[in-house]
Amino acid sequence: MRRLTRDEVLSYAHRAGISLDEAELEHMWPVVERYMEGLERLHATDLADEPAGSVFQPDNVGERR
Amino acid sequence: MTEHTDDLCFLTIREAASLLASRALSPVDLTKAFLERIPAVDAQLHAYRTVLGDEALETATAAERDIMAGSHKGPLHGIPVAHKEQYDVQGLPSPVRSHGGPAPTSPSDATAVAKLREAGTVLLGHLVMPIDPKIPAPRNPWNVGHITGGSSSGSAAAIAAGLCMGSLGEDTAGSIRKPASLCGTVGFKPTFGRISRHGLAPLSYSLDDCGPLARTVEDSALLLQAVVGYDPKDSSTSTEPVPDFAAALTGDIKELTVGVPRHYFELPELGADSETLSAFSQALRELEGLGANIKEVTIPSLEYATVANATIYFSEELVLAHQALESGVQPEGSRKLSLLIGSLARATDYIQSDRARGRLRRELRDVFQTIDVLALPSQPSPAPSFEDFDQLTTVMIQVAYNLLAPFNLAGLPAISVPAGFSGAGLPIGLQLVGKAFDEAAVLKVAHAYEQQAQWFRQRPPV
Repeated sequence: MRRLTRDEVLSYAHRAGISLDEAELEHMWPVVERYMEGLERLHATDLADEPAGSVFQPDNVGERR
Repeated sequence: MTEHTDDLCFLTIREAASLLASRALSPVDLTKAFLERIPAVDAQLHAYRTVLGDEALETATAAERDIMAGSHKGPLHGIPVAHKEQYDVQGLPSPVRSHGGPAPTSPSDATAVAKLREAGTVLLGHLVMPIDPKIPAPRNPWNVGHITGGSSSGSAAAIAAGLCMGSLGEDTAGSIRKPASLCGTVGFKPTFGRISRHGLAPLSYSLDDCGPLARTVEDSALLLQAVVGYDPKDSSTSTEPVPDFAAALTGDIKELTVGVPRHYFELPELGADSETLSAFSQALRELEGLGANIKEVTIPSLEYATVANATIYFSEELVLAHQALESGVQPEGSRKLSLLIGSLARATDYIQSDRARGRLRRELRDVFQTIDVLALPSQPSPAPSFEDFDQLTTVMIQVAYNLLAPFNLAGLPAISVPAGFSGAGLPIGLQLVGKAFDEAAVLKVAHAYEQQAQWFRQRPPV
């Protein structure tokens, strides 16, 4: 999984309507990096056999209570 | 403020309820004790956003009249409570709904708030949820130089400091259990869907979960009983039958099995300190001494559950903030950072997180075939000082590894109970997790441990 650059992060923030300058991003960057590391770990796991977009039910896997 | 009135403020709900029912204690005197203590203590804690002094006394007076007339509503009648400001209270502003703009005034009570009013509680006010960096963050009653943990910060600080007897908090990634652990109170997040979220300012549609904070497990059970159940105003509420939670608190946990996912909470990335691990080991020994079986379990998906929870949480938070952001309102502090993370998450990240949720639930369902509850530390270490903690840390903890968020992702009931103190006198918490809709098992084990350990009898120095 390719990690985002600082410029890409700024553009995503602006697209979402979040006003963020380079100094603020520098301050927040360790958290952004940690998040991207986490996403790498998540995507490295094969979860293809898990259903996606299902109705969330905490007590069972497939059927609606 | 006398020693006697201070003592009233540290009664458990059950103790106060007995005195109120027998007319040995007046709801008005009890409420006055809190209204005297709040200004004296809260000046240094900043737990309250709003104190409803006159309204509370009116409610207490009505409760006294009813009880004297023989109309007693139950164990919460006349009990002073205060709730996290994320809950709508009719006539009070809702800062969480402001998204950085003016806070709208709530036209009605949240369902859970209304249910507690119907049960006879006396509402003392709104407690701070520290989302606005312009107002002081609540301080830890055990050492005011230390944080409370968020975001039910005001709730935990107020319970620990004897500023209310019970409180409604909200938990999206640990926000009830973390402050409960750091402030030495009980905090309980029930199964997703047990409590209506109607009138709760939302952070995340699929993760927000309401629950009580209180001094003891029994008090938590009493509060929980009053607020659970299907609500036609919240389609996510469950129609699952509701047991008598207090009836589960027998103290007998012989032959119950406690699962311990040591592979997870001892990960170096979690940074659990030796005092916390030692307190946890002692808690396990006490559970074993009470007759429980201890069993090591493995739940592989815990290792990516936190980032999955954060992806869903912050993506949904961004959706909720979208309109405000489009209109030019800017978030501040940790909220800005969490929304930034939400803006980075792609649809593929969200879907992968949803799949991770399914895998986690499947693994937990299998593990719960062989155990009754899971046990792990609530937090890796006691409350850090304000100097060692900044707004970045709040979000950092939510995107990497943590001990609480996986059980939001799975939607399972989870409690934090006091499990001792560090050498510096700061509380340490024990977390117990149950299978879906088995709050009774969680409460039963937590209560048996609490009554054995008796940590809840300790008072902070404020």
